[in-house]
Amino acid sequence: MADQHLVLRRRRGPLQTALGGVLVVLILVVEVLILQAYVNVSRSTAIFGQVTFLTGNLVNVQREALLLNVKIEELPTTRDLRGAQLRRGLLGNQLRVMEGLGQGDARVADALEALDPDLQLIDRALASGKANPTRANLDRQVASMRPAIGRIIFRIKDLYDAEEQGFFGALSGTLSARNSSERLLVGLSGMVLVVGLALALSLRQRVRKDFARAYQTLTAEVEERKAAERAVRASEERFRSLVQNSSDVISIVDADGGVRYHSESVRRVLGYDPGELVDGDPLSLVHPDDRERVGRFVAEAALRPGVTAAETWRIRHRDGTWLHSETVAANLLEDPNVRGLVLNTRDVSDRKELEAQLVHQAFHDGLTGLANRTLFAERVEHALARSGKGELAVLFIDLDDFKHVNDSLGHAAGDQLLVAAARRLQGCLRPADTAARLGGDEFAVLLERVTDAEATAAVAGRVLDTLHRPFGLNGRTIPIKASLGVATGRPGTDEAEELLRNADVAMYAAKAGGKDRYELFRPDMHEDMLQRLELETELRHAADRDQLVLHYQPIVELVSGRITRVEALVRWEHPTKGLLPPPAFIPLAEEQGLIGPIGNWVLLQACLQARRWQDQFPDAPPLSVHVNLSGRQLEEQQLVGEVVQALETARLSPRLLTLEITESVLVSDIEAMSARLRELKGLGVLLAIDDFGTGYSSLSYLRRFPIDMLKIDKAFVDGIGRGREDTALAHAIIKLSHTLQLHAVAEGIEEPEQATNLVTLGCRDGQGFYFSRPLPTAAMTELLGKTLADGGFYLPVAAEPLESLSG
Amino acid sequence: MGRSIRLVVVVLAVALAVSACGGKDEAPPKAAAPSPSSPLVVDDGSLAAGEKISAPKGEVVLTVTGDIGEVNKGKKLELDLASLEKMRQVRLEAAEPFLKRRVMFEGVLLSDLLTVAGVSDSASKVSLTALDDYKVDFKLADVRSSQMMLATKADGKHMPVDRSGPIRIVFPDSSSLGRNPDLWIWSVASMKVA
Repeated sequence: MADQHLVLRRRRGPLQTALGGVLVVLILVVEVLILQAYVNVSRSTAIFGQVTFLTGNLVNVQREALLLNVKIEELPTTRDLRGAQLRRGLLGNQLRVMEGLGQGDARVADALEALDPDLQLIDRALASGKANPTRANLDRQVASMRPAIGRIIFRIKDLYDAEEQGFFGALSGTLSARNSSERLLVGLSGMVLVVGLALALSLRQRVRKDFARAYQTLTAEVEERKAAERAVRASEERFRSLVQNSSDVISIVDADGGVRYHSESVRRVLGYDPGELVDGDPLSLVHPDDRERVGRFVAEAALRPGVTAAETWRIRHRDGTWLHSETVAANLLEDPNVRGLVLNTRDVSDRKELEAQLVHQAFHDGLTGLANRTLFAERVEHALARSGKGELAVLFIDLDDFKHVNDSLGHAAGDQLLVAAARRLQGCLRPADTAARLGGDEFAVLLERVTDAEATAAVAGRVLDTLHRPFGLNGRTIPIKASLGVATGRPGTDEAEELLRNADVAMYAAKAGGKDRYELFRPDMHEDMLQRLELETELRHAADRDQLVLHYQPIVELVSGRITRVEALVRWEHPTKGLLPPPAFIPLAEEQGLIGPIGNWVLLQACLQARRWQDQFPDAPPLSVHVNLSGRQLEEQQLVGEVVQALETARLSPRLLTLEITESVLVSDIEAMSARLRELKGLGVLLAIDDFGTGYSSLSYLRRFPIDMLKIDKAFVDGIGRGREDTALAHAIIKLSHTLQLHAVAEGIEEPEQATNLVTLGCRDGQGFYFSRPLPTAAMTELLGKTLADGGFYLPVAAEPLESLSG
Repeated sequence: MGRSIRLVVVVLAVALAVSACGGKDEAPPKAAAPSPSSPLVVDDGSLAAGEKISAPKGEVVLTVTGDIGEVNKGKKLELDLASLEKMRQVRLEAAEPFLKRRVMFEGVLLSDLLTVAGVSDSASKVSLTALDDYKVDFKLADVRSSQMMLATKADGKHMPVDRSGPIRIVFPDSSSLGRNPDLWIWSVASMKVA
């Protein structure tokens, strides 16, 4: 605003100043010119008058001279000397007047002087004529006067011409001078007009501009003031609206806590009428547990100026429920408009709930609702810190083969299983105990105040039993099996971290010990665990370091002892532990994802060896080779390709390769497995079920899968001849294989009687120590060489088959 | 802004004032007051009004004709210098427009002369003719009011013809008619009243 005032006060611009200056100069010049012109005009007028006078007089002079001439010419006849003298007088008078008029005129003076002799001559002649008025004398005098008067006339005429010429010359000079000066004057006047007009216009414009600016300034000021008023009003309204419509309750209380004002929102937030709360005891609405805190809060706020930190407490809604409120107090006791504490209270129940939810989420497993690892660890720590009687125990539970369920039935089914497991787990615990899901298929339980190891073991057993109860999933009934590790600790002495680790170790021991069991932690388990870890590391390098070897066990015709097939069995030649059988490292390989490469190696080596024997013993019928496939191998996509590759590399007929799979593999994912087996079958290879009879009791898969052979588990073979029931089982299996047109092979034959009985029961082929242990390649080759006879490899058969039984 | 306008106005005013003064400066100078600048009676004369004017003995210088009561030759009244000088004589110093100098004239007020000549009440003008036939008419009212004078002497001397004589009409400085030199008729010879 100050700026604009300044602008207003500023005067004309440089243009106006310049125009004004030019205008003043022009006007002065014009004035001078006008004066000059005026002087010239009056001088011209004077001269003109004078000259007119003079020339007029000259005309008179001339006339008088001519009249005198006439008088003189007439003298001889008229003799009027008196008249001539009168004329001479009149001429003289005219000349005298001319002298007066022509004062300062050299021409006039000269002319008069030149006239003088002739005039005197005439005067003398006239005087002579008067004195002697004879005719002769008169004639003589006239004759003498004639040239004189002629000269006078001539001179006067001359003077007239000269005066006239001089006058007109002067007049034309004056006029032309006047003309040019007038032209200049007109030009300058025009310029004065133009400059004056320009100045006037520019001044008008400036005045207009100044006016416009002043107007603008004024209106801007008015507008500003209006805007300021509006802003103040808006601010007041906003504040009022804020207070009245705020979701917060705004209250004003005295320093002693008495309520003076509640905003309208108290109705919405707490359900009370603002009026009914004023002058009441505000503490009556506060939860009894929080009252002391609220009192302290108000007292402190009254002592300190400024705004307090937010505090939360519970307030009773009119409907009786408790709200969580958050309150901030502003001390405005010094403010003359308020003279109180302004409390800003808001309902934070939702937030509190959300906080509780978040806390719960942070410490609980989302799927099962059990405590998570963090909370569990904290609980354990807490329990250990608590000085109490009795020990506490930690159970680590890992579901066995959960991955199978997840992979074959889908994650939703897996989740259902986990939820069910969690529920069952929780079901067999006391309220003080804590069940937790540590992640994946790992659970944990904290048992507090356990009396002894037996009690703990009892709980562990109960947990396993509970889980075992069949669980219905997707129309199937699946038992939940788990490996369980137990560790106990004593409050005040043991570390939570160590306790959890011990339970974990025990759990692994249970898993390594065959799953579906529990193990109580023993210190030496650590050692086992370490060894196991070491073994894992070594296994990774076993194939690279040529530590894996294949042993072969013959499968023979029970009656003739002829070797028709060999089963390839992988062995690990461990540098320190010696030769390890498959159960010692295959599960480990499966866990570590090493089964693929190992399996492929076995497959290829077995095929190559079969080819070699075929080449070595061209006269004998070619031997079939059996290769074991683990469940993991079957799951892998590239298996079919690897089989083709192995057969091609060894140039082995597919008919000479039999792939053995265990029963348990088949249950996992029926559709996928069935498709995979059909693919393999399509190659022309044979499929055998290994350890038949030990797995799940459902036999429907036998019809569903393209199986060629059943290998009867050793358990059934062992029983043959020992009792009727065992024999009956073996018999039933053999009959089943006949019914399904499957080739049956008995495993684990150790006694000649067993072989004899099997033949009697209708089983053609078998394998076992009775015929041969699994042999290294060289030994096997040697055996084949030794037994080669009559176009076959015949092992010596000790006992003749019981002829009576066959039939 | 006001200041500049004021400045312009002042400049204009000054310029106008200067030009106005200049105009006055250029006006013809006024003759210094003569003494006597108006006709002064020097001799009441011996010729009373209504008195018979005898025929002139000297050279007749003026012949008056027309609507007059006094005649001395036929219907004319002829006057010589002596007759004129018997009438009331006045003296007047006036600016002579042709010689451009002040001259002391003596003579008769024309109005006196006309009274002596017995001009009738019905007459309104008088026509003057000079020796060279120059003519001037005056209204009788002007003759009376302007105090024009028929001079017989200039600077104490009678005037010959070549000195605008013998008689001539002159005007006092105060007369507005006198500013026109054409009315200063010299060598007056006759006068006709009508």
